[in-house]
Amino acid sequence: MVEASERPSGTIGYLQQLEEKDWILKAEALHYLSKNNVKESSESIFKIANNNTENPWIRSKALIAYCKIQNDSNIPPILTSFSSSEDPKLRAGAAEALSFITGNNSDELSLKLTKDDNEMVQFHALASYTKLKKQEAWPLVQTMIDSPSQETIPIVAKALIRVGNNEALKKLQEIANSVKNKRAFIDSVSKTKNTNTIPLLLNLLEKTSIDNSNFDYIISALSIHNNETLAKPLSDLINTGRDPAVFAAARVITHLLQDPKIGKELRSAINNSSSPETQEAAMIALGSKNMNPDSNKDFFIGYLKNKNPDLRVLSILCLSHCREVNLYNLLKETIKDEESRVSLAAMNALMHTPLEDAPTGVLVSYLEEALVNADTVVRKAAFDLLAHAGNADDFEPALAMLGEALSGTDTIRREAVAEALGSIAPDKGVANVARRQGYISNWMVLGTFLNDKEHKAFAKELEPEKTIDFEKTYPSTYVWALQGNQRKEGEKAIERDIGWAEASVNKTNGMLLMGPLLPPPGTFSISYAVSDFNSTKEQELFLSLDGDDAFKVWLNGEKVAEAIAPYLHRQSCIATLENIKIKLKKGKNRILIKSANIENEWWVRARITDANNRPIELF
Amino acid sequence: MRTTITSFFILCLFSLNNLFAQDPPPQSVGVARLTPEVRNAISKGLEYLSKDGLQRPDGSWGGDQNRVAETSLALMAFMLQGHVPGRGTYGIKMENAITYLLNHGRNQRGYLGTPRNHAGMYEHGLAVLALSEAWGQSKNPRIKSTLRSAVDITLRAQNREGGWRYSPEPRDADLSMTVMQIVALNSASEAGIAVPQTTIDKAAEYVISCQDLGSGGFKYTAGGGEPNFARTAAGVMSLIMCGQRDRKATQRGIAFLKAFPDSKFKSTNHFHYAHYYAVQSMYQSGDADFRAWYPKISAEIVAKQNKNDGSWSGSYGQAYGTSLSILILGVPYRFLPIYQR
Repeated sequence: MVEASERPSGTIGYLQQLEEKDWILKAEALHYLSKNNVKESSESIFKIANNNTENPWIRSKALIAYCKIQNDSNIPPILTSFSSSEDPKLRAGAAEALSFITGNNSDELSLKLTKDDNEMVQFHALASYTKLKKQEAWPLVQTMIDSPSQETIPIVAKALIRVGNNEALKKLQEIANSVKNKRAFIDSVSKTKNTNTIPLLLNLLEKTSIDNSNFDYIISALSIHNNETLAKPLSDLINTGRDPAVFAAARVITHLLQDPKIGKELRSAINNSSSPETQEAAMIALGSKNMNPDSNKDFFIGYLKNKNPDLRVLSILCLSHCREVNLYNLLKETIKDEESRVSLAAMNALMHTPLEDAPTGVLVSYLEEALVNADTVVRKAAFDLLAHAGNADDFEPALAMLGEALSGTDTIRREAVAEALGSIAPDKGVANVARRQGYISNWMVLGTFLNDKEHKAFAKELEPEKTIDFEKTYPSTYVWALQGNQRKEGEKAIERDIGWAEASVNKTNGMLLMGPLLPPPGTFSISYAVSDFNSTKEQELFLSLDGDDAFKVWLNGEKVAEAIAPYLHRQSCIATLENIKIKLKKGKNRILIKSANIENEWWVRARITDANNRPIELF
Repeated sequence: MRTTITSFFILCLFSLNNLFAQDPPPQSVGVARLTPEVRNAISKGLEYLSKDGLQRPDGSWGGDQNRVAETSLALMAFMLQGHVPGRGTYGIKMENAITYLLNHGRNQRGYLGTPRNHAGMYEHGLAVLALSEAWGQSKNPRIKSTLRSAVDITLRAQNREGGWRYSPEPRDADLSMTVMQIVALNSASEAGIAVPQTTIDKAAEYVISCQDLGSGGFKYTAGGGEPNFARTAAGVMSLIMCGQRDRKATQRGIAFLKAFPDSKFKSTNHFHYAHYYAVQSMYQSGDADFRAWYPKISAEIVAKQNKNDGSWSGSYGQAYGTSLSILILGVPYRFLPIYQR
C-alpha cells in the first residue's frame, strides 16, 4: 500500500474517476495515473483493459497505461491477446504499449505488428520497435516512411527521433514542415523526451508566429529539457543570425534559459537585426533579473536614442533592473524626450531609484523641461518626482521656477505645484506657498471650548466673538470623549484655561489643521482663528471657505458666512462656501473664524481671489 | 533616546561589581526618586513572585495560555531591581526562567510564542525583550543564538505596512502587537543583534499611520478603532523606541497622554498594559514630564497592592499583575537597559 504522503496530489480523485461511466473522465484518469506512475492504480486499470464490454479505444488506452506503470521486461498475456485481436484499435494499443516493455523479447512482436494491415498498428509498432533497436531499425523505418499520411506523421516522428541518425533527423525536419496537426506532432515528439527533439522544436518555433497558440505550446514542450541540453541548440539557433531565429531564441531565454553566458551571443546577434520585434524580445530577455542585466547595460544604453520610442521605453525598463548604474545620470536627456511615454517611463524609473542617486539642490533644473511640459501627465509625473526625490535644498529653486503657477488660474496646475512644493518645503516655506495661492496663512488660534453633537456652542455667542484680546486667557471646559462618543451620564466636564497662540497653515493647500495646534482631545470642540492683513486700497474681492465640520466667519466685525456640514460618524464632514463677495477697507483688515468639530478631522481654510479667480496675496 | 551600547556595557559592569552581593546595592536605588513605600512594595512583590510553588519546575510562571509572557515579565521584574541571574537571593529562579525561555525557543526554531496561543507574537516579543535584557547578566551561552533566531522571525513577520500581528507571518498589523516587537527589537539591537534600520523606519511609519489626526491619540490599526489611552501610550513608546521622540506625531501623543483626565487615570482599560507603556513614555519624554507623572501612577499602583501577600491582581492573574506593577513602579531603578534614556 502506498502511503498517503507519497501519492501525487489528486490520486484518490483519479482512482475514483476510473469507475466513472463517462469515457472522457475515464481517459483523463488513465492519463494522469500513468503519467505519475501510480502503482496502486494498476489493478483497476487492468480491469478496464480486460473488460470486453468497455469501448475498445478506452481498453487500448488502459493497456498502454498499465504497461507504462508496470514497467515490466516481459510482455503481459493481455498485450499478446490484444495484438491478435480482430479489432484494430486493440491491436494499435498493443503496438503502442510494446514501447513500455523493457525486455528484448518485445522486438519480435513489434516487428510482426509492423506488417499489420492497419496503418496505425503498423506505425505504432514501428515506433515501439525503434525504441528498442534505435539506429538498427533505420533500414526498416526507411522502407515504411516514404509518404506517411497526416494521421500517422506524429507516430512516424517518434520513430525517427528514436533512430536519431542524420538521415532520420533530416527526414524528420522534412515531415515537420509538412505536418498539418502541429499540436499532435509537438505532443508526440516531446513525449519521447529525447534531446534530438530540441533543434526540431526550436526550428518549429522559429517558423511559428508568436500570435499562434502553438508558440507557447512549443516553449512548454522545450521546458522538459534542462539548461545544459538546451544551451547548445539555442546557441546554434542564435548564431544563424536569422531574425525569426533570434526572436525565438530570445523568447526561450526569457521563459526557460536565463543564463548570462548566452547573453553575449544574443547581444551580438541583435546588432545585425533591424526588426524592432526581435530587438524588443532580446531586450526583454537580457533585462531579466537572472541574466545579470548589469552585464548588458551598455547594450540597453545604446537603445536610449533609438528612433523607435517603444524600444527607448524598453531600454529604460531594462536599465531600471541594473544595480550598477546611476539612472539620474543616464536619463538626464531622456527625460526631455519628445515622446511623452518615454519621458514618463524615465521618470517612473527614477521614482524607484535610490534617493541618494538624485542630484541634491539641482533637481529642479534637472527636471526643468518636464516641469513645464505641455503634457499635463508629464508635468504631474515631474511634480511627483520632485516631491519624491527632492529635499529642502530644492525648495527655493523650485519655488522660483514654479511660483508663477501658484498665482495662476489653472487650479489643477496650481494644486499640483503646491503639493510638490509642500513635499520638499522646510517648515517656514509651507505658509509662503499657501499665501501665494491666496490662502490666509498666518493666524492666531484659541481653543478649545466645549461643543456637543448638536453644535449648541457653535450657535451661541462666546466671549471671543465679543472682543478679541490676544493677551487674555479664557476659562474653558472639555470632555474626554473620543470618536463621537458622548460623555457619560453625570460625567463632569474638565476645566482648563486657554489662551491665544500664533499659528500658520500646516499644509501648502492652505489648511489650518486644528488638531496639532490645540490641546487634545479635539472632539466636541470649538476654536477661533484670527488673522490681520493689510489691503493697499479699498477693494471688492471674493472669499472662498471650507472646513470640517462647521465655520462662521466675520470680516471686520461683520458676519459674512456660516456653514455646517451634516455629521457623519468617523468620516470627513466638509462644509464649503465659494466666492463670497467681500469688501476690504484700505489698511488693516481682520478676519475671524469660529470653527466647530464633533470628531475626526478638524480644519478650516480661507482663500481670497479677484473677480478672475486670481489669488490675492495678503500680508 | 536610549543610551548607546557602550553605556549599556558600563551598566553591566556596574552590575558585575555587585555579582557577589546577595541583594541589590542600596546606593543604586538612591539615584532614583523612590519612596520607601515604593521600594518596599517592589520588594514584597518580588517576594511574592519567588514564593514556593509559584514558579513551575520548568522555570515558568503563569497559567497555561500565556506562560512565556508571564515568565518574561517576571524575569524582567527581578532584573529591574538589580538582581542577577545565577546569583543572590533570586538567582536560581531567574536562571531557571531564562532556561525555560531558551528551551521554548529551541523547540520552535527561535519562535518564542506558545503555539496554541493565537496571539503568540505578544509572547514572542516579550520573550525577546526579556532575553535581550538578560543578555550580559546571565552566563547562559545560548541566549545570543536564541535571540538571533528569534529576531530573525520578528523581522520576517513584519508586514508590508511595517507592523506586526498575532502570528509570525507578515499578513496583518495592529498597534498593540507592533509596540511589543519594536521595543523587543530595540532591546535586541542594544544586545548586539543586527536589526536593519529599514525595519525600524517602516515600523515607525506604521505607528504614525495609526494616529488619529483629530486628537493626536493612537488607534488600534491604521484603518480604524478609536484612539484611547493604552493605544496612545503604546504609540508614543513605539515612536520613541524608533528614535523619533522629537517628531510631531510623538509630541502630539505625549500631549494626549498628559491631557488624559485624572478621573479616568485609575480606571483606564487594560490598566497594567496602558501604564506600563505610559510610564516608560513619560520617562523617555523627559524629567519634567516624568516628575509630574510618576508620583500619580506609583501612588495608584501601591494602593492596589494586596497587603497580605505583596501581589497585585491583573487581567491574566497575579503573576502578570505583580510583574507589570513592579515594572511600572521600578522605572527609576534603571537597571534594565530598556529603562535607560
